[in-house]
Amino acid sequence: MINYRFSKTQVILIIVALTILGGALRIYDNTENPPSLNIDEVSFGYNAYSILQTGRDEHGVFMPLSFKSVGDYKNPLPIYLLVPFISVFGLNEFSVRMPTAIIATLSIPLFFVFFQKLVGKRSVALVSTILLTLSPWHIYYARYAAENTIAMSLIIAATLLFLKFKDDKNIIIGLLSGLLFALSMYTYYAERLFVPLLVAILVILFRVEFKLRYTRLILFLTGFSIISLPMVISSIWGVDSARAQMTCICNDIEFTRNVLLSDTNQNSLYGMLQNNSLLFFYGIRKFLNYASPTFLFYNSLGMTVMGTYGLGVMYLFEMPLLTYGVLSLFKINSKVKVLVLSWLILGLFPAAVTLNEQHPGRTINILPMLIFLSGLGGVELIKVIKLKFSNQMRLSTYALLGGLIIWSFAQAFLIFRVHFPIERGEAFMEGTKQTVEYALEHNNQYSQIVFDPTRGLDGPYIVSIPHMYVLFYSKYDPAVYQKENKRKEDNIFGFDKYRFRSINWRADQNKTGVLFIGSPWSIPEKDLKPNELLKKVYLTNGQVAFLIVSPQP
Amino acid sequence: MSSYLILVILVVLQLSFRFYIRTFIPFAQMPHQPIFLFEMINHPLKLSVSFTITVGVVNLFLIYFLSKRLFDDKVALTAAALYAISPWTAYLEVAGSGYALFLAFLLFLNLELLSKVRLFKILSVFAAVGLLTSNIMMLPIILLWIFWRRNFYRYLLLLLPLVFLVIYNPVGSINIFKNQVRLFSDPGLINSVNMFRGESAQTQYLLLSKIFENRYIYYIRHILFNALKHLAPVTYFTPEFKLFNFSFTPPVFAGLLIPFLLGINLLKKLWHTNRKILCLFTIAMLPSIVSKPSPDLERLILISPLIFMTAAWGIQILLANVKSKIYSLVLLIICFLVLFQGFVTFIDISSKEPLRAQNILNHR
Repeated sequence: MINYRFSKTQVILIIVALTILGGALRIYDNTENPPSLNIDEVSFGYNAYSILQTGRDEHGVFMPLSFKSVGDYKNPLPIYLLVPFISVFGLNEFSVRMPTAIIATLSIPLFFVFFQKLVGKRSVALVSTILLTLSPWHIYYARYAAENTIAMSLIIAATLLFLKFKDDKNIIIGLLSGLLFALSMYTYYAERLFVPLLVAILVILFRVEFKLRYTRLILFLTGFSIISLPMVISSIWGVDSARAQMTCICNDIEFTRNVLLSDTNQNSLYGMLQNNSLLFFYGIRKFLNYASPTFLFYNSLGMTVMGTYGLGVMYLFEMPLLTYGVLSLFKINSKVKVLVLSWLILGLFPAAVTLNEQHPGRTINILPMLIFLSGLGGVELIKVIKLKFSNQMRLSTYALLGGLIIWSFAQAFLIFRVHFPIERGEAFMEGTKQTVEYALEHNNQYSQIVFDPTRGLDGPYIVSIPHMYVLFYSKYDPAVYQKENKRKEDNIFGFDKYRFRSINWRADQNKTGVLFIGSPWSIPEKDLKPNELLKKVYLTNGQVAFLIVSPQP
Repeated sequence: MSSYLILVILVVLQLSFRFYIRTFIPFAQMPHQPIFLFEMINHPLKLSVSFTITVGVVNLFLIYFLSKRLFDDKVALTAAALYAISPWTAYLEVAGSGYALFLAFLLFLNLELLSKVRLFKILSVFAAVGLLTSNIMMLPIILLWIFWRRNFYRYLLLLLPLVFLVIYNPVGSINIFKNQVRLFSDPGLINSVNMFRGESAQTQYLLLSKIFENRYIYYIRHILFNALKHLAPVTYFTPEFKLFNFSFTPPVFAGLLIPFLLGINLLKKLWHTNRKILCLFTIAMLPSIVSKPSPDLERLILISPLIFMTAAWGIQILLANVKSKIYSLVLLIICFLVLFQGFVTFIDISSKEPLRAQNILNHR
């Protein structure tokens, strides 16, 4: 493959085939696996439905640039992207997940063009595109409504356009590039830290190419800044700053408890300096943690139970490719080298300054460069094997690599198909849909339907936000919901006949005519009378997630 | 002459740092592997600690001489300085860890390979005698040494301490051996594989699972990942794996990562010129790889001279190119980071580290 020269038609056919394969991996059965819509997805879906019906979000704000939702202030673009799909296909899992899957699939040929533009070698671009098509990281975040996948695709498109802009000096392409960069920041929060820095690097790196056409570069920057301005204002002074507060590394419990030892004294200058110095090195630790084999190859995707075997963001067989790719990087053009290294470092920056030990979602921006390095390493490694290895060594190496590739794919298949739905169903709020469907089906039989928002197999530690699922699956009229007073008796949150509060079975067991839906932690099965238990909702792993009960006289 | 003067200054710095740590952190209360020799004569911990701190001074000189043999005086002094100020070596010596002594043994071994002076062999034997607690680590070194030597029967004498230990305490010896290789004692390992197989049994993919999800493949994978963790910068330049399970000080200051990366070429050079030295250090990682948890920073101290030498080489590259703006800027950043982190560590040792240590003791 390395020495063979593909014609343009052959390359196009290969890319089309890869796109079809990639599409199949990302779209097939994506409404059932992941096993349920998670909280973000139902929130995206219902807010998009609300925009479609009323032009306002669930809280009644007209065409917002930031969706308050459940207090986490979601980005606007993923929600507005769902509107046409919901108008055509209705409010369901398909219309919520399909936009991301389609964008991820269409990003496969986009990545090929980008890789080719970056390094100018078709072989590297082809190998990298193959690796992207089969990338567990990309597939995982394409199979559900993940904003980061959309944002990353926008950044790749924007960078590609910028690279074209620096060659053609075509201002339309430049402005389009600026627009896409800005839109990516309206798609995912990590982009708000990453993209401005990336744009700065691109401008500095390629400023010489704009030597006589600086005005065009300035126009690009101006367009980018103007479109980004509302978002910047909101992030610093507006509602989005709440999100920054929530996720800032200074609120990391591990840091506060084990490093500062709960001494968060910021009153004295000495205390403040000491704590912030420790925070700085804590951030460095988090940053370097992403360069560890545990994140890259072990179980960072979180598709299986933590602490056990799983899938890293890359396959194990990519390890020698990535290593060789890093070594080969230093042989190529210095601007590309600087761009790749800067991209990798900057891409980790948002995750290093926020909570969570290892967050593959926040670091997905480095995926293109890791894939590129693996592709580069793969091509160079095969050249070395062909030229320098004896026949016997060559065969042994290919056999070993082939075995590793087969094992990696088999393991990935089993994890995606078998283990992930069983072990991580709860993380995707599995079971909530069934409870809501039951409640909707028997709506008329009860005067009130109470959902307990807490759940969890190990304890009532997960807050599941069931009201969003009720809104979603009942297609509750957004116009009514926006205007309705949602603080009911005793200041309980609810709408229509639905109430969302903790269930205290000792007090609630006498309330006949009411349907209760909660986990076994809030509704102890041993305290139920014979006719009270109406249904048990199970997870894929066979454990009971919810009990649906109604007290009998 | 000036090199020796600098070494004396480094020794003073080294000892000051260790006594500073000893003042604040209650290592005396911490459980760790004592040196068998001192256990045998039933002597208090203080003697053990003084002994290991003294051995640390010896290690400083050994690193200097080894680096000087391999490279030049400047790299040697830099490597020695890094050893003197490294929290990693300081904590282990203050804790009375036997691995400080084993490091001396390893360094003697390296010097012996380079110089072939009989004295080093004798000293190596003495070091080995004192390190009977961790006999598993002697085996790969001795095997390697024997394998590379023509008149190998002479070196069977090094096995005498092992024979002595087995005769003195056979049950303890077996337990020590079992405890040294803790890699597969994690029930979570087997449970994970069994869980996978159980889940696949509920589907039509059971055969696929039997082929690709068997425990032997996962054992190999486990060892591979343990080994790979030892190659990650986060292990050495951040407190990702805490020293003695409590410390927030990194084994090596983060700022030295940059010269370390620059000095990576050194390893390529060593491979061509002194392969045995490189192999010895690589094998010295084995005890940590088979530990649970892995990496075990106490055992991993055996590879610290290689890290210091690599970082020292990188610093010399920067100094050699200091006229270039980029190199001088990088050097400035490194100096700032190292000094800043050194200062923060210094303050932290007196303020929060003792509390962190006490928390661990309270948990126990």
